[in-house]
Amino acid sequence: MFDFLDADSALADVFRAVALFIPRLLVFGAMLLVGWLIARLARRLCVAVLTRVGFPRMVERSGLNRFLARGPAAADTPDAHTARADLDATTLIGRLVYCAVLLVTAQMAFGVWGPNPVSDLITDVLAWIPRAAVAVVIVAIAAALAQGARRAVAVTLHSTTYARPASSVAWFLVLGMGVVAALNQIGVASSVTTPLLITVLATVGGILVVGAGGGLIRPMQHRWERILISVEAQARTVSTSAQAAAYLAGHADAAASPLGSHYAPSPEQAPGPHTAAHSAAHQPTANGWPALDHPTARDHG
Amino acid sequence: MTHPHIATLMARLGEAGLAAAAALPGLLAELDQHAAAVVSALCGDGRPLAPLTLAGYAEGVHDAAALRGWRAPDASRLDWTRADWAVLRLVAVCGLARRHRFA
Repeated sequence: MFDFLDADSALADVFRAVALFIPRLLVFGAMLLVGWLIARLARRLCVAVLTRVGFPRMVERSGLNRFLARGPAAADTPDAHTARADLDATTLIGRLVYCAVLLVTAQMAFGVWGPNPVSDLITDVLAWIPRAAVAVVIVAIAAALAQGARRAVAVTLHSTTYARPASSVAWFLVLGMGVVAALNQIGVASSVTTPLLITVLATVGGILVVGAGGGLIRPMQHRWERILISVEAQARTVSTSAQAAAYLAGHADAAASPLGSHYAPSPEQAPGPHTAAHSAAHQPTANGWPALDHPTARDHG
Repeated sequence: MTHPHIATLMARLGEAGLAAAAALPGLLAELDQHAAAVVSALCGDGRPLAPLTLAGYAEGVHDAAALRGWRAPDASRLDWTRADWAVLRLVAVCGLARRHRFA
């Protein structure tokens, strides 16, 4: 009897549970349906507003869509257009909004069942979605800026041969900053992005040092040779001019001197026997100093 | 750092003149005065004395004296008590070169 009673009450319990469950299920389904409709509406509204604001044009100008599609190489193939229509930045943000609204309604719908892990998960994802949207906007703006920088560099340096690589480097740097900012925004820790950034910068620096520096060895060698040769020539000129000045000084001194005059010896220093030698000293000798006879032939120095 | 002209001058006049000056104080004093005049002519603007400028100076003295009819005497037969201005100047140049170890 107790068994029967028990079975009876258990059955009643089942019925009661079903009776309680069915309306909850209906409410849950209705909420999901309404949420889905609202989400679609929100997506359209979002795309319309973004289009009105001019976001697609900016993205188009930045060339970002080609990367969101299949990359630059596939941009001209027929499939690329479908891919582009599928995945341009405006649609991406629209989808994010759509997912967000859907998730909000899903969370509310799951709330019908009381506290549960699914609700917690959805809460986390919902908290993340705005940041993702902001990240997309950051990347779009950075791409536009990068494109602008590339054009500015290309126009400024267009007469040089390195205009193209230089503009590419400018584009890469600006876009890289934007990507790092976007990664920070969506919560990829800066402990990941900062080493990434440093690695990129170190790589660029290394390439510059090895490539440009190594390439500059020979030009700098030529330059040093020219500098040293020029310094040497100038030193020679200086020493030659110093010698010429000294020559002129000696010439002037001798020209102004009492050339034939003798220094006056003190009486005790003028012994007689030297008189003969003295007279001989003043006979002009025909051959003086061969090495000194030609003032113009100064081939030394 | 020997300059060829200094070496020639030293061989033809300088050695004999400086040897004579060692025995003749009057000649030595005269050479000192000439040397001071040479130094003031060459180093007036603070430049150091160099073999090159000494040689140039000696050459200039010799050429100007030669233009005025002076001929270099034979040092071995020269009366060093009565040496003339050009000889004294050139021996003074030799003395400077020796003092500065240019020759």
